[in-house]
Amino acid sequence: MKYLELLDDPCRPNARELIEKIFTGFVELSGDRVFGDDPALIGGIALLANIPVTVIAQLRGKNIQEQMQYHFSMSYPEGYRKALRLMLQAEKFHRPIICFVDTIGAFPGRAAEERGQAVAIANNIKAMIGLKVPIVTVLIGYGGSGGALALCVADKLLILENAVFGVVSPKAYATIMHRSSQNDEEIINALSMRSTQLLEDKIVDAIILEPGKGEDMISQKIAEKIQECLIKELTSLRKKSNLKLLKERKNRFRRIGLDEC
Amino acid sequence: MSLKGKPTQQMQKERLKEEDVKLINDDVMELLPQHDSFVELVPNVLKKMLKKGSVGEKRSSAVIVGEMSIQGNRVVVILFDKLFVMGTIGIYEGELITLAFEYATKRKLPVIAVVASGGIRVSEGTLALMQMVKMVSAVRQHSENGLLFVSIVTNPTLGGTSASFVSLADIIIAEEDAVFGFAGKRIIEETTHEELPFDFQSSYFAKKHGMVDIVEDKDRINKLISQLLMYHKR
Repeated sequence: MKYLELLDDPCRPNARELIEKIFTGFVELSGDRVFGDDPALIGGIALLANIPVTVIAQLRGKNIQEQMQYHFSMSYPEGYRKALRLMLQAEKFHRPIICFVDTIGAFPGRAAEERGQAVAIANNIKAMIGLKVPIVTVLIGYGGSGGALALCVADKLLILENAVFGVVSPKAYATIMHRSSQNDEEIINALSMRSTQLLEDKIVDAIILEPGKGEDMISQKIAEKIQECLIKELTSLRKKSNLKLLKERKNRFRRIGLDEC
Repeated sequence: MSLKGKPTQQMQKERLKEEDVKLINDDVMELLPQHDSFVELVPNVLKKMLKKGSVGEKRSSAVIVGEMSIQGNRVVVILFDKLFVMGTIGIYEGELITLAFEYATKRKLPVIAVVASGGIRVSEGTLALMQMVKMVSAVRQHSENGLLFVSIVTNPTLGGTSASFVSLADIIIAEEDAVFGFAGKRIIEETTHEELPFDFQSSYFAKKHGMVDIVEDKDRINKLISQLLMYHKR
């Protein structure tokens, strides 16, 4: 379980801590206006270098109480619906959208199924491909399956060095394949979930390097790096016309995997 | 082999061979009226990827795309072969489904998908997951052109297949003994330890919770398809 220990380290900042350091004046907005409010997926408005942006983020708890509260980072459909509501609001007010992905997957449970987990994710993907504002997504820890993908239809997809993004979380894979003995690193490599592989496959656009061993992840350093990247990406994305932005976003996803054919 | 140039490729028509029909399984074909008019669409550029085996052997794709004529209505059909890696969507299948929607949009044709799929093919990694985005993008474009898309869900329709193009259909029909949902039953039980109702993710369960429009048996679905195509004739 060595690789995942790195991601599960309580010193690794979660999205709420990063938001506090990267943005100023975060106003959190709640609820999907249909059923409820998902504590595992938060959103709101904040300033990034004095520009109002919409921020949407998945949360992983830092202790057992928080983990229970955020149902271990797994969103219910109301989480994805809240994200969609806030993204449409961002489009209305011409605000760029910044997403932080950190989930082991969409919640697998009876209530989530009854409230339409599949269609909630599908609707997000469908909406994001056509949103007329720049979207930048940062993968900061776990990126598990459709639950992560529902925030990943971005113009620029960035990943922290040690974060993972894949078709299934390593733990769920062990369950599905009855391979609980297989170690994380093998699974992560086999399913090409690592940042370096994702860059090679042109799934992500850039890797944000993390502080070396012994250095504190909570330190301002990593937040500053992410902030720098976000400002850089947004500055260039905001210069593009809507037409160009949407065409490039569509083509970006249309091409992924074609090299394999 | 690598693909250069425009992602949208010309599809070439081929009559579906009888051994392929058997592989798709008669259950699937029975859902569609006048299925003997089915002509397979094979994208030129993906042909080499389809390493078809000798007669009677399995083909190397879980999806077959074709065009058929139902009472004079041309329609693009997407069929799943659940005997091939549980009908999962890999990189090839994702490209093929996307091409099917692009082909239909260009020719202003409706799309009918008969789905039997366990989700995204885990063994192909993140590239397979990313197929969801381009399939959804192609459905969106098809829809924005005012074209009809009908999903027929059968047993099983799960995971990323449900969470992408299938759930975005204008009309979703569930076969009586369908299984339709996102997370598989075993994953749910092992994650939450909750007791699931006996009819969990059944077609009637899906209808009760508003996820499908219609639950019917094979014969009725066959008739419904003709009726719906007539209502949406352009």
